[in-house]
Amino acid sequence: MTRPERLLTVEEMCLHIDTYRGTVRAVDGVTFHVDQGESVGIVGESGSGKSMTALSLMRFTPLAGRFTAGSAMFQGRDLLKLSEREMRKIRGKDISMVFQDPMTFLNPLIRIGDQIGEVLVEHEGLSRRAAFNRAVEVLRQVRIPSPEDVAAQYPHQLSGGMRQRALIAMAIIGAPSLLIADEPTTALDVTVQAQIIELLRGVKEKHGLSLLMITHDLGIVAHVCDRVYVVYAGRIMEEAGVFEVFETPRHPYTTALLSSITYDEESGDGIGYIEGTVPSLIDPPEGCRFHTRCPAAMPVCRRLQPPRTRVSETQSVYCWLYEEAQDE
Amino acid sequence: MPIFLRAYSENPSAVAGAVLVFALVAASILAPLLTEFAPKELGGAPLQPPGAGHLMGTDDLGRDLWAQFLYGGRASVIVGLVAAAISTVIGVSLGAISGYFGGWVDDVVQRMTEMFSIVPRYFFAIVTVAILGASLINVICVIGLLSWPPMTKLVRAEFATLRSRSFVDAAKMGGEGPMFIIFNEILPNALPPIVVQTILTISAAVLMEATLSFLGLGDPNLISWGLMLNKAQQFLTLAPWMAIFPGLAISLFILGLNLMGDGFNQALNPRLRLEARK
Amino acid sequence: MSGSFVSRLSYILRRLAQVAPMILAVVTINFLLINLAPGDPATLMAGDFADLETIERLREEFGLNEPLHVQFSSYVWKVLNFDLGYSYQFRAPVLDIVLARLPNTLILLFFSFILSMILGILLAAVSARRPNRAFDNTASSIAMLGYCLPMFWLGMMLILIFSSTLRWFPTGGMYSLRAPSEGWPRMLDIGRHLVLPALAYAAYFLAMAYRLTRAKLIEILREDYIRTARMKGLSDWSVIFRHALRNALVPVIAVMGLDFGVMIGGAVVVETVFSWPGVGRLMYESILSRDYPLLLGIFVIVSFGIILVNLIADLICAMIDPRIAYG
Repeated sequence: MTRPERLLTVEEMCLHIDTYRGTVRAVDGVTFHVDQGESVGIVGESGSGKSMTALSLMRFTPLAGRFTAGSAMFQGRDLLKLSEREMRKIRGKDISMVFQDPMTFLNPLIRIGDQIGEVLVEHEGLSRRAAFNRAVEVLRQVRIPSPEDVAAQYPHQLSGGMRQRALIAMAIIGAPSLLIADEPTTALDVTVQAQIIELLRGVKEKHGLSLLMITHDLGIVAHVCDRVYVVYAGRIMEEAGVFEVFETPRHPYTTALLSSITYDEESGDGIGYIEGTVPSLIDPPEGCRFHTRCPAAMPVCRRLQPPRTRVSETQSVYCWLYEEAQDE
Repeated sequence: MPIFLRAYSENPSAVAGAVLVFALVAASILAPLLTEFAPKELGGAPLQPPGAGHLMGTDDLGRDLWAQFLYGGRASVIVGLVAAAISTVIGVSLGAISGYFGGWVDDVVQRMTEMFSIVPRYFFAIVTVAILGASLINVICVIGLLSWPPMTKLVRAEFATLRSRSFVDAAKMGGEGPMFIIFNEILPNALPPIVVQTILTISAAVLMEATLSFLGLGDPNLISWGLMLNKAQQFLTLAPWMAIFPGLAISLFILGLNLMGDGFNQALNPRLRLEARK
Repeated sequence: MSGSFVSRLSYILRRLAQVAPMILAVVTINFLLINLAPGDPATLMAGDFADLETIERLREEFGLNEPLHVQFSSYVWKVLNFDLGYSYQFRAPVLDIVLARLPNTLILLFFSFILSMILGILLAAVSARRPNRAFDNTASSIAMLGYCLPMFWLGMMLILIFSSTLRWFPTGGMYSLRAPSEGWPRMLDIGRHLVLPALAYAAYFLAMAYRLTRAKLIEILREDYIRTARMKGLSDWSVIFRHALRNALVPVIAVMGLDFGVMIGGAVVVETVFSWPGVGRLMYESILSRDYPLLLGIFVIVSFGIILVNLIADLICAMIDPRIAYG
């Protein structure tokens, strides 16, 4: 098997946001990569910095945010260092994004077709008319019934699932090589969720693009992703192939995360949560970020940040438990 | 409240606004102490430019303009306060009733408010005062009766959201009547925006009083800044000081009130405060 | 498409139906004013210019011996037939006098309105792109001043500076004494007279348009769909002008429409200060000469005008925002 080409390589990316209460280390030394045609999941609880990681790649960071270290190489360019003008040429064209809540992410006063077509007006200089027609085609691809009518409608006339399809159409019309989906189903009904996930998978296969899926839902990961990064408090805890995550989770946090969903299904004593809360990102714990909640914490975890330890071809873990094992 | 005061005092333009307003109000109250002249006292040489004897010069009849400037503030302050009080009482009661009870009461009040906000306020005031007579009472009543719709809209919105809060339910289950709930439970929580709106109402009332007086529709027996400007019109090129000072007073008074309103708003609304500093 | 057309049409009809009670309300207010005034309506309507005979004739014409509701319905009937009474000062029907002066006011209103809307919205867009920076702070402070200076005083100060002292513009009026009577020279002459009153008038509109639009834009730029627009690779300006402004415009137009009554009130003082021969100046003259039929007639016409402006504002809003007609 030939190794697929790297599309995105993020190394030691740090995003610090200055606020009046202190500096928030929203993303703190995150390293990951996405290959061509691959679909990668970033999983974590809310407040773990997974969304901020995605937004950083689009450079949708708060005004007070700054990249203190690291790089994000995409097609030979460092996304973190591009000018706003260069970044604009990438957005919608090379990297695009599907957001959480389809109810609020569409402009209520612009026809669906015009909103979708605008990408082509901006990047390919198409006329509004031509862009609208292309938008109808893409709406058909995302399996919207009678796309001609829907394109001429306004967002308030569409259901949530339809709107999310429209947003996906908007994200793929520019034929990007990377599609970032930030919790694309959280705001939808359960039945619609499955359809959207199926659609994202289909779109990815058909257009041969890479998918970066930001989610807290391990079920989605199991359905869509080839590889997974587990993040916690702005740092990556473990990376693994999708089967390894479920079969042989190594990091205590991953284990905890997995057990939180299995317990959920058993409805019995139902301890569907991890003891403690996600630590403040203003003043994060020293050493391993998870040691405050970790059942297997050792003295070294409190002092030093664990290095990356490879446990297999595709699985690595940032945990002192495995570092020792390897040393011996 | 101490937090509010600190937030307010940290905002320089809000402090400047309060200083302006208090200075002008104090000057109008303490007028007899600040000048030896009476505002209608004849005797000086007419149209004297500002100088040592007459700080702001004299008007066409030789009356001291500094004295008029000080005493003239009283009309603005009285009309502003009383008219704003009238419209606040009307606005708050109508808004509270309409927001709290909803249903047909709400419909009626809303139609009325719409009607009143469409009426061209200045034209209505001019016509009414011109026909019913230009007296202080009429001016105050007309301004007061015309200025309540924004307050009603605001209070209605506040009440509509607050009435479904749990503390209101608790009071209802405790057997309290609607009047008690409106005044003791909801109103205190809706107070901050009401205070801000009242300050803005005062500023609108001051401007309207000045406008009416400028058109010769103020109380003819009462010296006011608007009336001074009315007189100053004929002598604009001859004695510009007659126009400059009273107009400056009106502008600064209104500016001060608006700065205070903005300052209150920012101090009471943490989100706005944060953005203002960013 | 056809569905939204039907809902828009029914919205327009519903909105038109609301106009009738408003017109009735204005007429009622007018009738009440006439009857609340000291003395009887006939003497009031005759003003200082009619002789006893006329007053007697007016008494009969008003049917003052009739019950009040009969008087009221005949008054309503008259107004609806554009009979706004007779000015004994000008010896002409009120409607004719007002219509003769109306174009002059509309010229003033139009220029200051266009100037301030365009400039106000542009400045607001620049401010909202980077709030609380140097440009925004400067513009917002100036707008605060423009919002607080009384129009009549600003007008007087403009005359003092640009007319008396610098002699760039005439002090007032609409035409020069030996004005060219036609063509471009005449337009130019009117234009020179128009500058100062339009400025005095526009300052408030401008401040208002700026403040409203800026506040709305800043609020809207935080909306999620703005992030979607930026995701497409649009520049800040495209985001503001193609996405945010459209959404901000609806509340701005609605509020401007509602405040139009206050704005048009400024016409009285500005036209008075600059002796601009419009309806506002006419109103001032009618106050001075206690020409009540004229005063009340102007009030009715202006009120109708405001109802019309609000109707137009609402229809524009419904055109921009499809949800208004839909809901």
